[in-house]
Amino acid sequence: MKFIETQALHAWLDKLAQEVTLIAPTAVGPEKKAPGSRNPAAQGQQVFYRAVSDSSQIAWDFTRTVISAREHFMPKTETLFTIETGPDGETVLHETKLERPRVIFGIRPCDARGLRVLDAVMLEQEPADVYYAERRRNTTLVGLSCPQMWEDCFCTSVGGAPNASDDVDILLTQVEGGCAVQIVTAKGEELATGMDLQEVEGLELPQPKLNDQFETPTEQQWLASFNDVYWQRVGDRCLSCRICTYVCPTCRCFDVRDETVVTPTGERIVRRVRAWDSCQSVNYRVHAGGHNPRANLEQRLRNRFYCKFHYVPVDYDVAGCVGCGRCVTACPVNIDIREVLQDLARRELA
Amino acid sequence: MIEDIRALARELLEKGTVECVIGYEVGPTGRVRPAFVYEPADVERLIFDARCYHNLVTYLTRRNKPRKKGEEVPTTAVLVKPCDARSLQVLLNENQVQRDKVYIIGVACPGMQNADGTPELRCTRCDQRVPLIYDVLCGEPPEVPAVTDTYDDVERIEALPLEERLAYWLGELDRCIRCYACRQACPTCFCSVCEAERDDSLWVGIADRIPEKAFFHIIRAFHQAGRCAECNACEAVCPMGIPLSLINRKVAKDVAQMMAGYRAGESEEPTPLVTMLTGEEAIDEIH
Amino acid sequence: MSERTSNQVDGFEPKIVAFLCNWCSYAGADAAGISRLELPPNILPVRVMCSGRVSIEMVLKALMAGADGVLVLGCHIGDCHYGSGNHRTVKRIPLLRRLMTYMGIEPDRLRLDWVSGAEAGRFAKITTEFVEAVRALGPLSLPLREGL
Repeated sequence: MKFIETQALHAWLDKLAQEVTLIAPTAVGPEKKAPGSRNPAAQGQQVFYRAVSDSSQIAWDFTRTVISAREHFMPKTETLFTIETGPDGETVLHETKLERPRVIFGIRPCDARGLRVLDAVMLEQEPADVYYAERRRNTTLVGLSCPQMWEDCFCTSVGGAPNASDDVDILLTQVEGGCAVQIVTAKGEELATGMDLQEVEGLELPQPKLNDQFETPTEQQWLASFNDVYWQRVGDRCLSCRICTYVCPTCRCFDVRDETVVTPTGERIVRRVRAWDSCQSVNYRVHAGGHNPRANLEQRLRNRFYCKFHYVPVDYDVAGCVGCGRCVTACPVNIDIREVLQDLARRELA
Repeated sequence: MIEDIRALARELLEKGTVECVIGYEVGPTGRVRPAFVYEPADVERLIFDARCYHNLVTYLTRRNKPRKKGEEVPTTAVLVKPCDARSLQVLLNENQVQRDKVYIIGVACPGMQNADGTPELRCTRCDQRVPLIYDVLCGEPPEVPAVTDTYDDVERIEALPLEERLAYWLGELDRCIRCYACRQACPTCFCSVCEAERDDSLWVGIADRIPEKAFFHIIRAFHQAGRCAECNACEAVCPMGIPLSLINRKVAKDVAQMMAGYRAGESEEPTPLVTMLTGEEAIDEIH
Repeated sequence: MSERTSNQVDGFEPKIVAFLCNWCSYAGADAAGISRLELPPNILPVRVMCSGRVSIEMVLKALMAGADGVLVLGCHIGDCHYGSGNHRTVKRIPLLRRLMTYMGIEPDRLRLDWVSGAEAGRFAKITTEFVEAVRALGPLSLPLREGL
């Protein structure tokens, strides 16, 4: 088993940050945001995957980030191109420049697994999304396995594991004095040439503490439950906000608009913007002409579950949920995906 | 108190007075959440304690619409704390909820607590322990020392130099991810399509940038002028921990100062921003 | 009134969006033109049916889209064509001025005033005053203005 000492790892990351865009879990925001508020999010800094300039900014003891790493493959907002007027009055189209190589350090196995869904939709279908493809190609994933399954995590129930190496290029596992290193892909092999690796005989990987595994509904149960009153009952409580879809590592809906803007220097330009969208939004599914096939809140909520557990698996042959637990933690009215799955799995089929 | 609530809920459901009772329950992982009880047998799920911070009035506008065209609007019973009752009064004033379609179970409010057992800051400023409107009141109102809201949190921001205020708010609002949880949790934000979400992007584009985010939060706060009951639902649900109450409370403070002490939801008068001058206003110089 | 010290920029010409009510202020502006009064060229007039129509969205959008100041002119209280439209304006705009101050924007970039159809001189005076006031404040430089 390969091993890297903590100090050597930090030195490698410091050097890496000079050469590429290094993205790592880092605590951001003010220490005290809303004093006296009951909101846990307001009680301190929150951890996000952000570009860092050296290893000291990395939050080593993080559980999971608030927003998954997908924000670095499908940014919350990106300008696809702008149309401007050139010096001689001609129309000039500027495409967004391609990014420099990036390394995402500390990606959790579940977040990396979430990229399977994005890949299936954005890469493996023709035509591939060039913006996504470019980011994916230019990014190396250095995973950091979870020492335990955190509160609300359920990756083992949906086919993942807190220490799975399947979807990263290199997987690190924290052990006494440093990290055990598993090199998974050729891309990882190349990146690892800069690491001061040692070969340690008989190094044992710690076994992560697991949460209870539970049964998920079968395909028949999903098909039989579509028109069930159950969705109305869960939907009763739903606020129809977008939190669950925005923190999700596998949600990928977006909206594209052309906007005319005046720049600070007074030029009028057209900008094509792509931004996250959410199936929980009222007008997400409105057709031209005004018909809305998902006008009701419970239909929108139901869609989120069917998308993850029926549409994506059937259409793309990948699991649509990686069990990161973010939506469970973040839901303000405690709509718990685990509870819904278990409720449906318990249903008797007629 | 909880036995009173359960007994009342059972009676209402058994007699068919209401279709559903909206209260609180403890979820499978121990988190308190809104509960919708349709069957008398399920009333045992209901709880009420200092963790029940959700403003359940939010759900009423949705339930006060016929599900199908021509269908009658069902009657719903709802548990309200004093702050929730104020927001309900606002909805009644604005004809968003029919009074005869809602059965108001007022609860004597012990004041809400944070996870660590300390009182929520907003509750230490509140002197109402009994809702202003209810059909039935459950619980004995606790004694509370008379408190006056000094708006010290708002004044702390007001005292900063102009540049620092701008920097502070840009920093706070930049964290926004436009999930709209604040709007969705807010009982008095009930437009069927928010102007920040219109398909034609008339006012606010779709991008997640400071201009769009600041615009959204400023207009939302302003639309709540004279309507925000300071239930803090928006701040409590924000996944980014943005201190939204500081904006809403600033507007509430100014409305009270300028419009003869008007406070949202304490009377049947609608927000003064939509009414004529009465001559009692103390409006600032206009330039 | 401004808390920010003057940050005058050489050659800075403020851009002012002026919302003029159809019944009084627009007529007043017209009268000022017909009377050949000297008016600042910085004003971009937008005719609205009533000053009560000027929502805060319109004010904010003007500021974010590049205006350095916003002027709202309506009928004098009591003279509103619709009876009480300007009663709303006179509550709304001062409240917005307070909120703007709170969020870190000089309140003096927003002015509400009354101009009747006969007050051509008053229109010229108010617009000139306002342009000079905003000129003294300097350009509105906000990250908010990267275009909305």
